[in-house]
Amino acid sequence: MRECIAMRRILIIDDEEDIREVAALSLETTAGWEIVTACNGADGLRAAANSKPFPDAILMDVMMPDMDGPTTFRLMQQNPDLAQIPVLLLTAKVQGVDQRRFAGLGVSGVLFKPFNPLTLAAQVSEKLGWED
Amino acid sequence: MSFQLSIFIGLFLLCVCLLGVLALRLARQVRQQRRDMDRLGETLQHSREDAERQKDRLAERSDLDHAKDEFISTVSHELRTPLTSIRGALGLLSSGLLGNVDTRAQNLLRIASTNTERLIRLINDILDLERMESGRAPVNMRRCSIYDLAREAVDTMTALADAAQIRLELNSYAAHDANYFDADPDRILQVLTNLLSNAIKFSPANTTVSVQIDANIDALSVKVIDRGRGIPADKLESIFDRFQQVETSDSSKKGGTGLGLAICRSIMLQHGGLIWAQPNQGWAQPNQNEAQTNQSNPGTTFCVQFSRGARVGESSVHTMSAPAVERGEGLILVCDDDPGIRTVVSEQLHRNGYDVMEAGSGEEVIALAHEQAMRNSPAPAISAILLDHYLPGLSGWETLRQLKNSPATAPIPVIVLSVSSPTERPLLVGEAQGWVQKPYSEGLLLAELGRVLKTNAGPVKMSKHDLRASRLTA
Repeated sequence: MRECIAMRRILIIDDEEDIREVAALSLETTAGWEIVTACNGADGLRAAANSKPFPDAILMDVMMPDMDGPTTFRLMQQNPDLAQIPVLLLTAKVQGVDQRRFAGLGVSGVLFKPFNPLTLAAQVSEKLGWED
Repeated sequence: MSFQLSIFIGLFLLCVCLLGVLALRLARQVRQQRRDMDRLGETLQHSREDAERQKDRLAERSDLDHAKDEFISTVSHELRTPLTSIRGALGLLSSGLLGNVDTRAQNLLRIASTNTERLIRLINDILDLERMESGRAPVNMRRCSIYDLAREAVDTMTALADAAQIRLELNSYAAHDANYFDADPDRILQVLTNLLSNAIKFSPANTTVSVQIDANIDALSVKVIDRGRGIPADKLESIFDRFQQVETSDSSKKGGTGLGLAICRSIMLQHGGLIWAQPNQGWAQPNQNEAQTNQSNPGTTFCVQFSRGARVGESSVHTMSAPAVERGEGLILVCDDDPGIRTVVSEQLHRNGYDVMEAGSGEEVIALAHEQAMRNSPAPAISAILLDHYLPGLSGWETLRQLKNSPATAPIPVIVLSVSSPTERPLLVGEAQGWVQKPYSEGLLLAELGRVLKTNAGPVKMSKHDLRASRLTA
């Protein structure tokens, strides 16, 4: 297990409970990060706003019922506090068209499902330029 | 006087008669011309209607393409979502991060993990192939060095080769400047690593897999040469089809998806290049002992070839591009019930050096093919037949079957033009030597024709015995 240098707090927003659990366990056990989860966009916005301190990063699914990832991201950008938090999309949409659409959103990066649970934390760190 | 008058009257009457005849002729000509005009008008109207229909068909196809895209995207997403949980759970469990499990359970976890990885690769490959074959995968062309790409591929595969106790070597016979060409480097790297991974998988331990680069002013080629058990002659082409292995158990045993070579072929077609497999020829084994221990293994050479004049990434049916392959020769029989398509294909073939003969139905193809096969030289024999899959009357499939059942026409290679992919028509694939999926580009058609003609070594000459037999069966 990696030694925890900096305590990070990550918010995972995904409508699939199993994926939330696996991703949370993966980040907790491999990087020792603290994980908060939310099951949809609206819940995610509330969780991000109420979390003190704010999460260091948000890992968010794209396809969610009611409010999808891109919409949630846009709403987050309208809140000055939440707009500061880097967002990574975690998506099973891997086609070129989708990728170009995500790139235009202004998110900090895109990670693809199915992710490798042993390297997910390293991928997050790399995308966000975290040294630890 | 009266004599002169009668001559004058006679001449006058003659003139009137002549004028009358002339007038009648003129009237007939005018009538004829009017009829011609009417006919031309009708033809023009038909052409307009044809053009409209063609436009409708193109629009329909674009709608279909869009629907297919949506479907593939959705299926891929729906498969990936449960796989994410499975891969995550298995990965964490088998890593031991959550505590140790006993050896038997560990083994079961390994089996589940390995097969999950394989399923993920399969889904990725299917998606990759689908995007490339539909011409919707972006090609990012850049100037790159074939040597650097081959070096990178060899470096990437070294760990896999070491694990299988295979030595990788890279030789270049190209001048430094000749290494440079325009291509999508990621895609070419994918081709080279796929070929190397194949070669390593099917080579016995303690042998060498050799990569050879050659280049000149017209073309670049890379050969990947292995000392595996070789590929039977009748499988040298079909191994590039989806899910085709030399033995059915190969794929599962070696952990492949069965799509690697199909992907390589698609990438090469996208680049206007060629890919083929051949038994090793006169390859000097560097190590005498090695050669002796593997006498029974002829091995296989996979060749990829890029033509410097090739235009890239063209896959729309209405793109009339410059030829992507070397100029061809031979007589090609084109069969399509749509005269418009026949004209376009014939024009493309003509422009690239082929002689063309057209047929509008399956019955006509069979008749023409027999006629040509039985004609004595110097009349040219048919080098290949381009056969539309959907034909009214005798269907494409039935035509192909009859061509292959007759000794006179069986040796003529047939390329099927079809809106279906070869995997949807396995029966047809078995009989045909080539396959071009519609909508196709000129480059794709010519590349496939070139490949088929190359592997079939030109038109087949009939012996007298064959001719007699064919007359009996025809």
